[in-house]
Amino acid sequence: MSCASVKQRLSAYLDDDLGRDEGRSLAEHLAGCASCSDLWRGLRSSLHVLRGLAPLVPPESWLSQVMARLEMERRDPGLSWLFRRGWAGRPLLVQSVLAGAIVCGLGLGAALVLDAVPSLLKGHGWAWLGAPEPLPPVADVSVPRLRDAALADDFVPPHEDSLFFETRVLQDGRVGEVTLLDGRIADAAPLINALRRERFEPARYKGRPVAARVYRLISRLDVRAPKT
Amino acid sequence: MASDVAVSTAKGLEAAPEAEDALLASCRQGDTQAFARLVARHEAMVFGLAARLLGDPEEARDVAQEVFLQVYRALEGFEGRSRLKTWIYRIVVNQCRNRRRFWRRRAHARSCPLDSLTAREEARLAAERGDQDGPFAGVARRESAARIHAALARLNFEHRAVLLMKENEGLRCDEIAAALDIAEGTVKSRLARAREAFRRALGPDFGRERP
Repeated sequence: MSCASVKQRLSAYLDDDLGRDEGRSLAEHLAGCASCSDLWRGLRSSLHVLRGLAPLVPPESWLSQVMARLEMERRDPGLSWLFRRGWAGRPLLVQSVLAGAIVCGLGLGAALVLDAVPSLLKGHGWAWLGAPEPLPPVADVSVPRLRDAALADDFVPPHEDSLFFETRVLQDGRVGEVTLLDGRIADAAPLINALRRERFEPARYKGRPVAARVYRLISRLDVRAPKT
Repeated sequence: MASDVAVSTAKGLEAAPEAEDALLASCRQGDTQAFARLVARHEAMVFGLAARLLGDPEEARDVAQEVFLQVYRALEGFEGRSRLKTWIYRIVVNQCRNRRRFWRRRAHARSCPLDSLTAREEARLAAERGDQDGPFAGVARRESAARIHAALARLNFEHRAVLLMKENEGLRCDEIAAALDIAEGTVKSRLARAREAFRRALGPDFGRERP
């Protein structure tokens, strides 16, 4: 047996994995070859020290830490339940699934009922529960109107003029903001102040108030000086 | 509370070794004390292998915790086709491999020598022996252990795992094959290469210094 093949078989020889003849042949080679014999002794010696390594043990508190972590996990398993098999550690699984199914069924049933009978609801003022109604055409919506006419009576214009206003009317009829778009501010100031105190009636569509958060009214007012 | 469990179970383990099947059955029924006994039975093996595979006692403590938590979670699925110990070995090696990859991906070589831990161990063993060998023997042993750990660290992970399981843990090749889920022939070829690499890493003079 050559030195190269002995080197290849030393590990198997160590584990007694060679056949009887092969083992005997290798042993004879080792007895006669100083180089291979050195190698053999070095190998055995290195493995001997590996076997003799002192056992490593974790500190005494380590076991308590493991058990504490385990207890934490038992109480609040986090995402670890995703990796468990079958019914392991899920004592309330059936009850939870049942409760979830009931809740989902009720939700789905309610949605189906509301979807199927919107026409029944419409006639009883519950139209908002059904499908949204299309927006009414702008031309059919009446503009908000002033509730009283005191404004014109109190206003005494100093000059003849044409005033353009933008009035923002809120949903409840109050005036949010009045902006003079064109005209003399000195002429318009009393009118703007009066407008801010006014209240409007909401816009209507087919007799019913239209829900809108704000209306922007642009109006023109031609004022003439009082006749002397 | 948990420490009481640990202490009492460790003593119980020494007093009367429990059959593995009975212990497993108790663990599966959610018996925490039985699981503490299982941990106490295997902690040295798990921690020792993890420490030598990773070369870092801090990491090994963390990995060993993960190993036992994984054992606890997967206990229901353990069918007993292999021995419990072999199954735990597989979890240890996989956890260590994953941990190594984790640190590699972050390009962070997290490794500290086992010298400090070995020194503690040596001190503990010396105290147990009543310091019969004297302080010089302790120093020599520590230096020798440091060289061995350095040599182990020079092997690649798979070779180190096979070598430690065979030589340090005393597993047979078929048990290593089962634990690592590889063919027995692969174990033997890896073992041969690992032994040779370890001998070279130790240096030619290491064996000769020994009495």
